[in-house]
Amino acid sequence: MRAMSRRLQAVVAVAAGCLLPPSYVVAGPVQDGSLEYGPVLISRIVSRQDLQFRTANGERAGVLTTVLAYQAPGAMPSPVAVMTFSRSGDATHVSIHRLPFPKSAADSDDVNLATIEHLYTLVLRQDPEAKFFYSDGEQRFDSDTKNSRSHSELLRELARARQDAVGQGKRVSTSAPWHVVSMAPAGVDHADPDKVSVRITSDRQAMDGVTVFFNRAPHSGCVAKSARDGIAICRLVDPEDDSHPDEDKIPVLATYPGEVRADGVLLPTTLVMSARR
Amino acid sequence: MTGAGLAVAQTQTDVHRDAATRNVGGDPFMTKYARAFYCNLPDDNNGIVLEARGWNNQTGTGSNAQYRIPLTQIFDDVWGVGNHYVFQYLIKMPDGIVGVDSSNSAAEFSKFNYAALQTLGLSASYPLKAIYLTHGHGDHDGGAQWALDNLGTRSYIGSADNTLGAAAGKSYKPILIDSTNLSMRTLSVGGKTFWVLPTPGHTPGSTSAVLEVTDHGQTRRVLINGGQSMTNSIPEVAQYLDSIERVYAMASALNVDGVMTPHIYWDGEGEKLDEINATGRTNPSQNIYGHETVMRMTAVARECSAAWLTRLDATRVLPIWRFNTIEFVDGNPTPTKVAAKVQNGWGPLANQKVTFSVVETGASCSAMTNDEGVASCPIRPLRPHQDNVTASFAGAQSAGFVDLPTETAAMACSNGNCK
Repeated sequence: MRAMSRRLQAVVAVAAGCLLPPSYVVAGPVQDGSLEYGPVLISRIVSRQDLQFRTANGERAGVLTTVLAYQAPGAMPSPVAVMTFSRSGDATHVSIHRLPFPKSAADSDDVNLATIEHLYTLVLRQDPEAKFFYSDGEQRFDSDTKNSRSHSELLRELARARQDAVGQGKRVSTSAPWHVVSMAPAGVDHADPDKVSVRITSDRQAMDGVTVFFNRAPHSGCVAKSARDGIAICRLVDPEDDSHPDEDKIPVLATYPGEVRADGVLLPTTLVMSARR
Repeated sequence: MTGAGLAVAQTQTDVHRDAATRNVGGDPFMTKYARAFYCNLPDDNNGIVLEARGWNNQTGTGSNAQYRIPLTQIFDDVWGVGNHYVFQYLIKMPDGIVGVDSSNSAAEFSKFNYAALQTLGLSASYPLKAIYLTHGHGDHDGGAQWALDNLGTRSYIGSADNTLGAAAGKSYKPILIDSTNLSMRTLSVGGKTFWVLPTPGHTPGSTSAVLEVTDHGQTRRVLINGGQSMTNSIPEVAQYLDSIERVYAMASALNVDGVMTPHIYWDGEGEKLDEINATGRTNPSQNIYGHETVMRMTAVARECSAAWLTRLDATRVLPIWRFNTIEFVDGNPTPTKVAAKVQNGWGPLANQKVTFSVVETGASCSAMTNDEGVASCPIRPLRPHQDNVTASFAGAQSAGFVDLPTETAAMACSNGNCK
């Protein structure tokens, strides 16, 4: 346990206050509290597993917060990003604010890189149907919902940021290249609303023989392997067989699970396919 | 090196599937049911769940009528009715009945559950006081509206499921259990105390619970695991994983040794119910699986959900949960030998601390396990036939493994004489 630092208090207050709709704005400064840091999710897309990152979850005035922190050897965790979660109508809003990291710190380029990699892992775990807001360093939050990003857009943006970090870093350790994987709906079968398909590509090339998982709430799903043209197609099955009203109006999620290869990382991603009308 | 260590090309999913198998501990019943069903998705074996769905007879007629299960007494104060796909429990209280789940539909409830309630003495002065719904899917809350309309019975459900399939909220106006508060707490459902634990993952508002029941005059604690199957959504399966880990903690803390699972095919309760109906209830009841078995099943479920999550996100790395057992070496402890062995499905657990203690005197000692998993140290004093020795391993965590805690207890004996 450690007291919430003043820097972090300010960041949480700014993040919450700038982004959230008025009804969710935190009134006044965040008071001293305590954060319990736990181990960060372990992902093979993170280049340097030896750099210690931690996360802490908290809540104040109904605003859920996740703090990502870097912990240098012998030091206390130092926040490097803050995620806040809120509801606006039926939508979940997730804001991510990256904090500037002292350039003078040892391994700062690698820590910067690892921060982006950890953020990718954290964002991947969030509700793909949420609206995402992202700001980096000194940027101001843009809370206008029309400027929000989708889940897959934010993941792509983080992949680009990581590429930039690799290019700019003077002391960045050797790291595997990341390949963004994209999916797009591959046609609609109006006669069979349970039939779902995507075309999956990486570096503009169709991906052959990769697995795509489809999901439709509350519990319909299917799994397909892509063909040579990158098309993965299957028919949703409801293992509980209880029909739900307007099922065909519920978005379908397509998830590519990613793959870590010797020559690079094919990034996991999720596509939200809008409901059929 | 273990087999798992040699198989360097194994995927994370395969490692966790293997761990689920190792945590079974060689129990064929658990292999047939909990291991198979919790791991149906990572095993690419979803067909067994789809087959079980075919057992969901709601009318008592038709080709699958054989799968109906009549009103069956499970404990002194608990009965159940349903089919081999989904089952409902009825708890008799001094002043009425409390239900767990409400069947698939009004028609099924009115035909089978209502008749069962009448058999148990339902009347104006002995009402169905409340129904605890494990989650908001139709095969669990399908009869809730009928119960409200005809018996005036209110149902309880996790708040996040109130709008599941019903944008304006469930028509039977349930009493809501706050799904945003993930902590375990007690809740009075019709006067019956439930330890409830919100366990999102199967649905957002799924809850699990522990109840005290009476079995042949003894108080027992049973686990209601509130949602079994997983989806293809990374956030939902991540929630499921977190939930099953918290269920493990709850069942461990409350020393649960029995089960009352709604989907009875999942953990083999269907076979046990058939046995009760064929040959009678045993002492203890068939639904008392034993604490170790319940905990093993939950550890298996955790590894199966880890296997599925790492299939959906192949970049994720999750530590492996290892279910450990501890037993005294050469039987009961004696004044000249206090030794215990810790092991799991991977083999002996080396270099871990075991503590031996005697409640009666406060005496204790600690030692590290050797390569054989054996720890030994002297306890002074140790009185044969008077002192109960507890050997405990508090658990350990490393980058790759979570070694689950375990303990055992036995009466100290004279050297060579345990009579």
